[in-house]
Amino acid sequence: MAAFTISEGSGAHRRLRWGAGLLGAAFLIVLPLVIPSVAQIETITQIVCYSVAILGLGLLVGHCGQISIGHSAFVGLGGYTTIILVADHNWPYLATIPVSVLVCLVAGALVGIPALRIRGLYLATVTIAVAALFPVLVNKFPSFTGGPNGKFANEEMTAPDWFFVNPYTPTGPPTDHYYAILVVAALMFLIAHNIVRSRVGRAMHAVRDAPLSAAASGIPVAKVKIFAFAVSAAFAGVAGSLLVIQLPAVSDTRFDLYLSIFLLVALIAGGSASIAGAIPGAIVFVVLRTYIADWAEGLDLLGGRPDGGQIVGILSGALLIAFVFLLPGGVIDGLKALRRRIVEIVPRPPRDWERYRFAGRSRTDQPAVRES
Amino acid sequence: MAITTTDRPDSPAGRRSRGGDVLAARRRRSAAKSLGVVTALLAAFSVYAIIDGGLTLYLQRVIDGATNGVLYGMVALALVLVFKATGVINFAQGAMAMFGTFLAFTAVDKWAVPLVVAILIGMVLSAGAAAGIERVLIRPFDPSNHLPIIIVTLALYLALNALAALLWGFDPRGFPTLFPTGSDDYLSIGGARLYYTKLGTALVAVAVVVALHLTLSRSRLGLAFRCVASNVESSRLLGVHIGRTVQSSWAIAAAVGTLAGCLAAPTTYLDPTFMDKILIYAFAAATLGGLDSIAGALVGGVVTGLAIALLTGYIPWLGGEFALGCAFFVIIAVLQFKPSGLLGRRTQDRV
Amino acid sequence: MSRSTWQRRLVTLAIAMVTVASAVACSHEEAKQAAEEQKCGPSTSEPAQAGNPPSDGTVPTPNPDAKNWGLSEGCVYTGPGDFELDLSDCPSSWDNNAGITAEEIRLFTSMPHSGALAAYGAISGGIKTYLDYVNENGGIQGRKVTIDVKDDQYQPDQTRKNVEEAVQSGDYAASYAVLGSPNNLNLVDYTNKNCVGHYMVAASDNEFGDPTNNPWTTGFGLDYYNESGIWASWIKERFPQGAKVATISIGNALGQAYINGFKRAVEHTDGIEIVDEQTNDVTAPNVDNEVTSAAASKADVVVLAEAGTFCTQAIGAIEKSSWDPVVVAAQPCAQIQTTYAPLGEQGLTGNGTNVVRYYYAPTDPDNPHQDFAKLYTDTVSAAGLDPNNAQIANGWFWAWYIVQSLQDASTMKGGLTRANINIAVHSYESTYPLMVDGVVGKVSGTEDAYPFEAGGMYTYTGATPQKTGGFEPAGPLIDNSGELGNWEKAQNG
Repeated sequence: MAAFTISEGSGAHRRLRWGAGLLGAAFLIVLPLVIPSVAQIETITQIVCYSVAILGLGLLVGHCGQISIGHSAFVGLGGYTTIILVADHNWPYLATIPVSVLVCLVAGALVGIPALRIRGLYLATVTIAVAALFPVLVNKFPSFTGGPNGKFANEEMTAPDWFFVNPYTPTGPPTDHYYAILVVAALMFLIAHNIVRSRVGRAMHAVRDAPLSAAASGIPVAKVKIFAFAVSAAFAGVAGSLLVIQLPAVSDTRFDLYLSIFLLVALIAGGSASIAGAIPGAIVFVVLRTYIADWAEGLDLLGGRPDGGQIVGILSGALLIAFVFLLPGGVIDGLKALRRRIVEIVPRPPRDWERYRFAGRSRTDQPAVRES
Repeated sequence: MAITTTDRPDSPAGRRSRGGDVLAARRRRSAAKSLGVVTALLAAFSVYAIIDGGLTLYLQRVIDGATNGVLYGMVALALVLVFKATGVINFAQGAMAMFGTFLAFTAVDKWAVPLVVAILIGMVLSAGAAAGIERVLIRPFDPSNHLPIIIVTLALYLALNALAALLWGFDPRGFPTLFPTGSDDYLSIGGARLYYTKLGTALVAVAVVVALHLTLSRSRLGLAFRCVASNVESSRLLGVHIGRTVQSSWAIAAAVGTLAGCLAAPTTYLDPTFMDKILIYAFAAATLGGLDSIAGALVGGVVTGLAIALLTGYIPWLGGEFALGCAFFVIIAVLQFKPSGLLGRRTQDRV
Repeated sequence: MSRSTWQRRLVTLAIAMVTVASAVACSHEEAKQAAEEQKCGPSTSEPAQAGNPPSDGTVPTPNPDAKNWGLSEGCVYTGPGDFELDLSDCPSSWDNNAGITAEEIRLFTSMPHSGALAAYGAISGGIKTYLDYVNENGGIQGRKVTIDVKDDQYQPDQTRKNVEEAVQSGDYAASYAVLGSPNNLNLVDYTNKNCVGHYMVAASDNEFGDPTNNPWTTGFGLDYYNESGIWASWIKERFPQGAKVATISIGNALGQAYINGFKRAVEHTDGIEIVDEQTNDVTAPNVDNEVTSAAASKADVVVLAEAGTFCTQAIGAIEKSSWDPVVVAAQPCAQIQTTYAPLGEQGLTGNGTNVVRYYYAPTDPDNPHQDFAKLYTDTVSAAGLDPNNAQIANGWFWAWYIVQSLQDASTMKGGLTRANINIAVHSYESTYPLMVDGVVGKVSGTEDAYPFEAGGMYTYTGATPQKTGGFEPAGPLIDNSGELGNWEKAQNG
C-alpha cells in the first residue's frame, strides 16, 4: 500500500529520520520569525510549555499505566517555585528550573507512595485530592504565594545581548522566551525518549502491561512506580517553570482541577503511549482554549445572544467526541497511519535472528550454543 | 440480557457456591471490621468534640455532615452503578443529573405538574437520554479500553454543562421539596435542628440504596453487571449482551442521579454547576465505600460528610477551605489499609 | 566553493544593512519629530457629524470644566487633583490617535464567556446595549463608540494574550472593564509600561486606585475597603455598646479582599470585635458547616462576604438555624431575583438581611427612577437579553461612566485623544440615573481615585415564601468620600 518501503536502520531510513528531524527543527526555529503577532507567538510558546507537561503525564499514564488527575498541582508547584525565586530572591529564570525539578521530584515521589497500595481508579481519586488541594494551599499562605490574587515578577526574562533577536520590537521578548523554552523543552523530550528506551523504561512498560508478571520477573514494581510518579511530576514542574518564563504571573485559578482534566484529555487526544503524542495533544489543548471561543462567537449561532461562550462548551464536547471516534489512538496514531501510506518502515529483525531461526527444532539434538 | 449457562442456571447448590460462602463470610467480616474501626475513631473524636464544644454543637455538626453525606452518597451511587457494569467512572454523571433536575424543574415551573410527577418525568427522561447516549457514544468503543470512554464522558460533561447554561442561565433557582418546609418543621435533638426536608432526603436515599442493593444482588441484571465488569470476553462467551447491560447501567445511574439532584436542589439551589460541586465529593464517597459496592456508596458518603463537618469544625486551623482536603485525607488513610474501599470487593489477579 | 558563496552573500547582506541603517539615521531627526507629533500631539480627526446627547438625561453630557484640562505643553497632559500625565516615556511607536477616527472610538475588553465563571461575562451584553443606545442618540459628540469583547475563561494568561493582541493591532483607544482581580493585577505592569488605557476594571480591589504609580489603570465600583468600611460604621451605629462579629467568606480573591478590608475598618472602629472567621471552599456544595461553626460563636452580627449561590445558601442556613444575628451581606448578595427569590421554595424569606446599596437595580421595586429603568428594560429586551440579569444591569452602570469620560475627553484641550481619555477617567463627576440619592461617582486625579465611597445600608423586608420583598433604608447614607483617597494612602491606613 505504501509508496515506498524502507527497512529500519538502513541508510535511507537514517537519512529520512535526520531529514525529518532537521526539517522539524528548522520549522520550529523559523516559526516565530515569520509570525508578526505577539499573541500568536505566545500561543505557540504555550503549546511548547504544555507539551512538556503532557509529555510528563504521558510517561506516567501511557508508559507506566498509573492514572493521575493531579498533574495541575505539579505544574503549579513548578510555576510557583520559579516565580517565588525570581520575584522574591532575584534568581535568573532559567536557574530556577533545576530547583523546580527537585521540588517536584520530591512531591511526585510523595504522591507516588499511596500508589504502592492503591491502584486504578482508586488512585485516580487520590490524585484528584492533590489537584483540589493545591489552590487551597496556595490561598492559605498568601505571604508566600501571593494568595488568590496571584504572584507576579516585575522583570520578564531577557535574552543576553549577543542573541540575534531584537528585543526592542514588540515581538522581540516573546520570541526570546520562545527560544529559551524551546531549548528546554527539546531537552525534556530527549530525556523522555531516553527514559522510555532505557532499562527503567522497559520496566515501566512491564508494570503497565502486567504488574504481577513484572513483579514475578524481578522488577521492583514499587520503585518503578515511585520513579514514574517522581519523573512525571518533574516534567510537569518544568512545564510550570516554562509557563512562568513565558508569562511571569501565576495565580491559583491557573492550576485547578480543570487543568488536570484537560491535560489528561490532551494526552489521550494526542496519543498516550507515544512521546511525540504530547505535541499534537498540546496543540489541541491550547488551540481549543485560545481560539474556539472567538470562533464560536464569530459563528453567531444564537442570533446575537451573548451566551455565545456556551456554544464553546458544546463545541469542545462535540470536537472531543469526534476526536475519539475518528482517531481512537490519538492524533499521533492517525499521523502514523498517514505516514504508512507514503513510507512503510520495515522493522529490523533482532540481531543474529538467522542463527536462532531453527533453534526450536535443533535444541533437541545439539547443546545450546553459548555466546562468547 | 439472558445469561445462558450450560447446566441448571438457577440452582444455588453445589461445591462452588459453598466455597463462595466462605469467601463471602470473610468479606463480611473484613467489612465489619473496617466499619468498626471507622466507628470507633468517630466515637473517640466525638468524645473530644463534645467536651470541646458542647453537645448541641456536636449534634448539629453531625446532622449537617450526615445529611450532606447522604447527598454525596446518592451521587456516588450513580457512579458506582456505572462503574460496576463498565469499570469506568462517568465524569458526566453530575452534569447528567443536573440536566435531569432542570428538566424536572421545568416540568414543575412551566407545566405546573405535581412535584412527584415532575421528578419521575425527570428520572424517566434522563434514563432514556442516558440509554441513548450509551447506544450512540459509548457502545461503539471497545468496553475494555477505558481511555476513549473516559474522554467521551469528559466531553459530555463539557457539553451538557454548557447546554444547561445556554437554556437556563446561571442564576440560582429555588427548587420545591417533597417535604414540609415550615419554619418549625424540624426535629429538635438535644437543641440541634434536623429539618424534615433533610430527614426525608436521607430516608429516600436509604430506601433507594436498599432497593438497588436487593435488585442487583438478587437479579440476573446484577449478575450481568458484575460479569461484564470483571471480564468482557468471558461475559460475551457466556451470552451476556454487553451493550444492553451497560446501557441499563447507564439508564439506572442517570435516574438515580436525577433523583439525587432533585433531592439536593432544594438546599443547594439549582444552577448549572450545582452538581459538579457534589460530584467531587461523590468521587470521594464512592472511593471510600468501594467503587463496586452499592451500600458502600452511601456509607462512604456519610463518612465523607461527617469527616468534613467534624474535622473542619473542630480543627479551626483547617477551616472550610480544607473541606475537600479533609475528605481526601480520610480516603487516603482508609485506602492505605483497605485498598478497595470500606465495603469494596478485593479482586485477585491471575498472572 | 559553496561555503565561500555563502560567506560572500552574508557580507553583501551585512553591507546592505549598514547602508540602509545609515540612510535611516540621516532621516532620523525628521522621523523623531513625526514620532513626537504622533505620540503627544492633538487629535487628528474631527467627528464626522455633529451629535448632541438627548436632553432627557439618558446619556451623560460633557462636564463644563473639562475644557480646562487636557493637552498642556509638549507631551504633558493635565487634569484636576494634581494629575499630570507625561507621554514622553511611552513606547516610541505609541500613537495618541490609535483607535479614534472621525466615525468611531474603538475599545476592547476581555472577560470570561466560557468556562466556570462565564456568568460574569454577561456584563459585556449590558455594556454593548447601552453603547448602542448612546450611538443611536448622538454618540460621543458625533462619534460612535464600539467595544470588542474577547473571551479569556477567567484565565489571567489568556487575558494577557488578548490584551497584547489588541494593543499590538493598534486598532483600539483603550481597554475597558476587563474582568477579574488576578486577571487585572496581572495586566497593570504591562498596560502602564505600554501606555495602554486599562480603565474601570471590573474588579473592586483597592490596588487599582493608584494614579501616581499606575496612571493608566483605574478601578471602578464601590471598592472592597469602602464597602466594608460602611459595614463597620453601620454596625457601630447599630451597636453603640460594641458588637461581636462573625464572618463567613468565600475562599477566593473576593472573599479575602472583603475580609481584609473589613478587618482594616474594624481596627479603626472601637467596640467591634471579630470573634469568628469562617471560610468556605469555592467548590463546596453548600455552607451548612460554616454556618453551624459561626453560630457556635453566638456573635451579634454576621458578615457574609459571599457570592453567587453561596449568598442564598448562607442566608437560608442562618434563617433556619437557632442563631439569630444581624446579617450583613456583601454586594453580590444584593440582587433580589438571584439571591432572595430562590429562598421561597424552602419556606424562607431572607428578611432582615442588610446590604450596602449605592445604585438601584432597574428591577428593584423601590427604585425612584422608573423612567430610566423602563428604558433599560425595553432596550435590553429588544436586544434579546434578560433584563433581570444583574450583570447586564451592571453593564449599563459601567457603560454610563465610560461614556461620561469619553464625552469629557472630547471637549478637552487637544480634542479626543488617548491621553485625554486618560485625563477624563481621572476627572469625571457624574450621577448615573439609578444612583441612590446622595451618591455621586467622582474621581479627582491623584487625590481621589475611588469613584464611589458612599452608600446606604438597606434591609431586605416584606418577603413571604410566595413573593419577594424589597429593600428599606436601615439608616442614613454613610458617606466616606475622599477619606480613602488612593491606594498609597489606603495601604498606610
